[in-house]
Amino acid sequence: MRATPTAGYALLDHTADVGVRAWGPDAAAAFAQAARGLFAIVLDADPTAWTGRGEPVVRTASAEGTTWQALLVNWLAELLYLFEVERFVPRTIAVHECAPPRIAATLGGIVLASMDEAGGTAVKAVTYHQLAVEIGPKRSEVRVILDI
Amino acid sequence: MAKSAKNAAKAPRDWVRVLRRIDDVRWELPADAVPGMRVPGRIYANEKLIALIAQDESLGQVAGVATLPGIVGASLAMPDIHQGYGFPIGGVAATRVSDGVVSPGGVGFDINCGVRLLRTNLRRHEIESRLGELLDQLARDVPAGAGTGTKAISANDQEGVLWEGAARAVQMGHGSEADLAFLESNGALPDPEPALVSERARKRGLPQLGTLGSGNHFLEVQAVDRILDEEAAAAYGLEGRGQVVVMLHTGSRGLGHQVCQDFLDLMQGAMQQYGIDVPDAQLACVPVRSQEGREYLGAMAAAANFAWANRQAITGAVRRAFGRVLGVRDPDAALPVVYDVSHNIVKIERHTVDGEEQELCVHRKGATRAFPAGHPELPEPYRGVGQPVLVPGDMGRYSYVCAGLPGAMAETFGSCCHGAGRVLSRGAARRSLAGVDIAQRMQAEGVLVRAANRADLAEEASEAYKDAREVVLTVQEAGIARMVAQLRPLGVVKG
Repeated sequence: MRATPTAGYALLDHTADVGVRAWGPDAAAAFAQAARGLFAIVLDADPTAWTGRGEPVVRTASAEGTTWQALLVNWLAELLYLFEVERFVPRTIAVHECAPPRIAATLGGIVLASMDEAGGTAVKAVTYHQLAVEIGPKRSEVRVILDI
Repeated sequence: MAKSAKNAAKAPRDWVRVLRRIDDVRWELPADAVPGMRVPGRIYANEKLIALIAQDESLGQVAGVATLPGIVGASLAMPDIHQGYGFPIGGVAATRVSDGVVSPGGVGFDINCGVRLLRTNLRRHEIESRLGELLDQLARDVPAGAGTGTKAISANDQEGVLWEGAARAVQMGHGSEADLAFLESNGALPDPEPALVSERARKRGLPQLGTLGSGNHFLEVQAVDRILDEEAAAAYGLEGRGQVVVMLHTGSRGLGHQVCQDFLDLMQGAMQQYGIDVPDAQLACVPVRSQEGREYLGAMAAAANFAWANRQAITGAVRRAFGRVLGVRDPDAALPVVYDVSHNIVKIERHTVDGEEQELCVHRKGATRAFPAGHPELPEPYRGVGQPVLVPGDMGRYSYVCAGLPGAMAETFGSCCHGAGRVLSRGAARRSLAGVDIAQRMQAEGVLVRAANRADLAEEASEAYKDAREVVLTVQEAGIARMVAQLRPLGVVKG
């Protein structure tokens, strides 16, 4: 058995949907990993290693939520919105503010030439079902179910 | 095997032992099974199906829904029930309008996801040689798969589809006025509030009018396989074995997804204000008569109208494709609508509970309305036989047309099943079918497939679903709906 890396994500089975478990040394890292997991589903490949055609873009994104749970859901929903409306896929995510009521990040990514470039599963929405956010002094972990 | 070990780590509850058997097709989840239940759960399933249903957390979700304030009768589960997020898929919950709640989770993200059936005068042998060409045309004209549509629609029509639903799509040149009588609610919910559909929801969804989407959404060319009820089949225009029909399954696309997402966020905060506590945050709800409740119902109605406009726009495209490829003349008249049902929706309806007629908020989450013969909301030609209930099975086997029965009004708030229901998770289906070319296998079995994403096909393979026949036999035995016709797929267009 391999040692668990300090930051990462794993995809979880759920009957009609799919889940992401993500962790890191702090909330910012765990939230960034959750976003990476979301796009691993959308692209069917890890976004940091993914090579798709499109225009490289660096941009900022932010979301609000009065609780950790709402912050996580709204953060992923924001990225999903940017993907669906602007065809933006983040490949590197630097979260520089992450605590209720706000998360803000700088994203390095690609605006896809066409939606067909994303070869994975379309995600409809981010659910509150079985949502878990555990923020600790040395390690933070989140768990979220996505509707596909 | 090792891969599933982590799923087994959390010991699931043995639900079968908690259930009380009522008869061959009814099970009760007693109101004391889980703390906080206000009513019992009632599950419609035969012995075979209940064993499958008890495998996941569906029944825990039935119990969770039973805790909603103002719920009446029972938290209902149709035989196609499977685990969803918060609400089970295949669940029905009716709450009192006077003091009950409305829950966006009880509708789901795909507001007014539904099924439409068109019939033709064509026979299977007349289209078989051109089927591949027809599917190619359908796949071109009805974009499927992830992401945005490309069609620009005028600002006027954008407002129009949210207000008027399918009727607006007809004005935009998709189909005919005659179609509207054969759509549930005539293809538009009353009292929509387009102003409450956010800018984000509009940006996401409005360009997607006329698109299928992904996942389990589909467009199928099918043939009638067997007529099981002559009288109802005749009323529905289903003539006999070999008749070509077209079934489509989609909803409100990104627009509905975003409306639900927006209101879930709003309700997380509002719920506390009303002192409501739910076992899963996705069951977030507010009083029907609160400002937030009214706002959700208005935005949901606008999104539902968009979904009806979407299915109407696809209907137009399907007819044009039949005209172009097969030379069908006057395709609006040659491919009439049999019916269009919504299976993710909440509606204000009047039902009799404990001998008293009440105004209820009926949540159908993966459940189809199933009004019986005589109901005033049915189009005149169907009033003698009951509402068509469209039950798609998996893409490899068969689908059913059923007809609503009086039992639905007596027991299930006029509701029935909506499909076969998953038995394998998407991940499990992928793993067990790794390396299998599903499109090729289906072609060998006589079903042509056009898929935007072939890798996702395994998730939708027959093995991933329960047998739809078991599901409809169960609702028939329960007196909720009777089988009218069995349909067999000839060609499938998938996202």
